[in-house]
Amino acid sequence: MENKEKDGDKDQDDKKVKVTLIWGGTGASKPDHFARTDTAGEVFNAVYDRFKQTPTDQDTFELNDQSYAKTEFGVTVEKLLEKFGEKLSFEVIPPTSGA
Amino acid sequence: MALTAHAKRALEDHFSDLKEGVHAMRYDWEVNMDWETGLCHVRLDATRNTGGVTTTDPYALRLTFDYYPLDQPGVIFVNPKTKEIGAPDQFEHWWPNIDGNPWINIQINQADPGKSYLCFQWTQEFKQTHSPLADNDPKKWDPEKHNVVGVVSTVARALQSAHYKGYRKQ
Repeated sequence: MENKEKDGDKDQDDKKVKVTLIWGGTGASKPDHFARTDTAGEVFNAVYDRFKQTPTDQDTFELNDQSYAKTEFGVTVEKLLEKFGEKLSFEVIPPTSGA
Repeated sequence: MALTAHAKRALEDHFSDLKEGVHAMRYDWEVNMDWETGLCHVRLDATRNTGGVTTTDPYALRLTFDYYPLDQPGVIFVNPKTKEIGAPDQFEHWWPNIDGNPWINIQINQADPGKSYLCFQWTQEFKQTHSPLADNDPKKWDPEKHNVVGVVSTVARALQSAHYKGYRKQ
């Protein structure tokens, strides 16, 4: 039974997708794993959690070095893999501006 | 000014990301830190396309850390070859024209090139020339949220953007 549970956990892990999370304010990065059914919004939110940061309404988002709109946060990881390929890097950039 | 012990410890923590982190790899930075003088030079490139011809322009940022990490680093462009600030009739040959970009305003002082600076909230020069931001302003420098890597990344982002038009003087 225990082995079956472990096998089940392993199957779940195998189905997960490895991505890179980046906090733009420091350029720090960490790997993480997400289900194909998870959404872009869930992955971007994980950046705040993993780097212990607080969201602001002026933050911007990039996926693989390209600007990513908040209106697209409902798109699944599965769809992102189809569009951007196997390597996905999710970056949250805190605000700054020319003064 | 030589590095304080506090600045040195912080920089040692941040240095691996500055030298070989995701942004360093993405933008192909070349980092040269002099731990004795406390000066850091980062070579980074900008690409422009003129009439179908792509040109890569080299730049050098000089970073200073007098009050780091509590405060922002100092950030200016210098001559990529000599690392000098340069004379009034020369220095704009190694400062970029990125007018119109949303992140950085370039402030040029033609009479005193050493007072030219990159104006955004994460530079020491911004702090010295502006009123303090409110504590709840998300753009305010916060060592828990920002470091030198984010500063250089912002410059790199502007240099790689569609707003880049080449050197201020060709």
